[in-house]
Amino acid sequence: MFDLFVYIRNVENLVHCNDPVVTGIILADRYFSSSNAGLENEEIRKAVEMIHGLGKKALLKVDRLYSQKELDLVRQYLLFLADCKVDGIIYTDLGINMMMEELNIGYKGIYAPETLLTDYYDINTLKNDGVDGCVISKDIPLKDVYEIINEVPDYCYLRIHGPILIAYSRRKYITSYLEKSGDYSEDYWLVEESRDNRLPLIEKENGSWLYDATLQSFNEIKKLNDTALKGALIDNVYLSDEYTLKTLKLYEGVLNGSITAEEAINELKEFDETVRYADINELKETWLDKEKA
Amino acid sequence: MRTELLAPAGDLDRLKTAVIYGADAVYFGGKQFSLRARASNFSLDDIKEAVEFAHSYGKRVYVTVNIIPHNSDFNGLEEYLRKLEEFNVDAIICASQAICDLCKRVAPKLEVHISTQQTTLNSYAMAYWTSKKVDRIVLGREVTYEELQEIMQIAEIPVEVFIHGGMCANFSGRCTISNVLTNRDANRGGCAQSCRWNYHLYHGDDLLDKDEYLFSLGSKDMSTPDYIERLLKVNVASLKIEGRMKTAYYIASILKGYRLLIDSYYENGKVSEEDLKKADYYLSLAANRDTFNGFYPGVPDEKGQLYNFITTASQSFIANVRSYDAETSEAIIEVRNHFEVNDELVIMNPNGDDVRFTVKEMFDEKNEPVEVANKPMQLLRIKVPVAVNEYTFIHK
Repeated sequence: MFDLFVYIRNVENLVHCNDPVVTGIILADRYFSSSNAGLENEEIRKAVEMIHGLGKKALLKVDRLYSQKELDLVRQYLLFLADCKVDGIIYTDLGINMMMEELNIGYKGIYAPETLLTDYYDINTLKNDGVDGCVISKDIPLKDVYEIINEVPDYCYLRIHGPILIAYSRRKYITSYLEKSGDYSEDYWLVEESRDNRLPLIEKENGSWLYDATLQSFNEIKKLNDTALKGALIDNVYLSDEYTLKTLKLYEGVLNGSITAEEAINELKEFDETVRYADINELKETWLDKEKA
Repeated sequence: MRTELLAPAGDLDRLKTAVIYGADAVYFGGKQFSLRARASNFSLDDIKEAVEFAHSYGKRVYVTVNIIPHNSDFNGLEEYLRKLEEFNVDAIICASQAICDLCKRVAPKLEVHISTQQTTLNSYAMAYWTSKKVDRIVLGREVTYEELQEIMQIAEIPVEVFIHGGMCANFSGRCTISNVLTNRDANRGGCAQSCRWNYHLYHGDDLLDKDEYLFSLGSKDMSTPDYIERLLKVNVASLKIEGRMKTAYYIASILKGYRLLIDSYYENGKVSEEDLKKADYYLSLAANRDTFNGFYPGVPDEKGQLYNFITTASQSFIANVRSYDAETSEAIIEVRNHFEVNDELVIMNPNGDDVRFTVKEMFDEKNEPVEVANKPMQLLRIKVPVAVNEYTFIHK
């Protein structure tokens, strides 16, 4: 049975996560994370206290790639999080692993590079290198995911719900196109000129993040819960906490058998009609050439 | 130690061209385990021949094993690495911890270079790879020159940086737009370059498209002659040119440009304005897209973006030389682009300056005079003012 972690944007919504199925809450600030809405430092401190008060674990997203110039700031932030007594961080930059080791930081680090963890050989190697945990990449078919979980038991995490990140850049794409600085972090979308699907695009002061559909795993959640998966993540980037809490309740319902996966999906679609979903079962093998693709 | 000039090669011919035109090392992919699925890529026999050829000129050979592997991709990998070692390949370029460790274990004579696909941007990320005893790190192209200076002061292992060629708009290895929009795997060699496509930009329901051009993520190409002196000053180990799918003519002209800058720096302690002018000339010969200095001056703004993406094939390359008769000063050339009698053409040899000449007359294989060369791959005989060889390119 996996641990379940859920991302919450606002401190006032933490009280709604006092559910036995939830192991921990994921938080984010704005600067050091990929999130477009972030908590201030004092809010993080307060939130961690509240989460511990609920008997849950507190994880922080520290999931950007950092430039050489930012390293002192990153170090200060990691120490601040230690002072807040967080239980772990989710990170994207391998340098964070080394910095945590140097600082003897005292909380766990879960490596989540989004694309690079597509096989169990690499994940096993990272485990042997002392990395505390890894989030399996989302660009592989489900059969590969199960193989990885089996080969590296009680170590892997999987994002079971949330927008699928498909590109991350240090460039500020919207500012460049519009030739005008501004806050482009909320409600911007791209649509490829010969396609219909909306791709959410978030630009912040330190880069851009492009997303595809929202991944959902209602049909697979029970099976995943019977594997040696260490942790399941219900992530979110730009949708409301109300949406996330609704999602959490629906997964809980599917896990305890009070509703079916189909009912859960339908209910979530009714809750917010604008969200486009990709079933985790639909993640396909990708190919190298046009003919096979 | 002098900084290496590292060139790409899509096949054996291009590898030979790169070696002859001044690359200190050449990199390419094998048939498996390598990105750039559409590059011709090298069979094992090709790899063996490539190493023998390059080593005979004192040049090094690196083989890309830089896929982000899936579970099944490891089949046959151990045997492949052993073969590369047996053929005396100098290094592999990889992007996977497991491939790195496997190579160190089963083919320890091979150096391991960490690919830019790992997006190493800072000294702590480098420290991770240093702890794994890799031999070189290829930095992410998003590192600015100022950041590079800082990194080089504390780097414990050799550092390679890109100086020229196409750029991923997003962090290399972290982009799956191609996977999602075309089902072609960007990180295993199938990238459809969907970043260069046109997109409509919305805020809520408001369409923000400009009249002149649509939104695109695509990047201009990198071209950095202005930064060569600075890069040499901070002692990077290697200056890398991108483009395993580029033509031999492209590789030759780009190498010619950067070679002269590097040689001038080591001979004179600096790169002069005259050197830069000459280099610009060579770099412009094969240019087919707008270029910029990458991230070296800082995070790019709109001037680093490529909107209205069109690749225009360069028409400047006129012919290859197939053979040369020193007694008659005549060359048999293979036509690639249109030219006519009385046109002024330019001979580019691997060494020395380009030589201009006017085509007075030319003859086909039946010895019939030809006025207009407009049949690609046609063999023609022309008189040339200097000795040429099979590595000579004729351009306009």
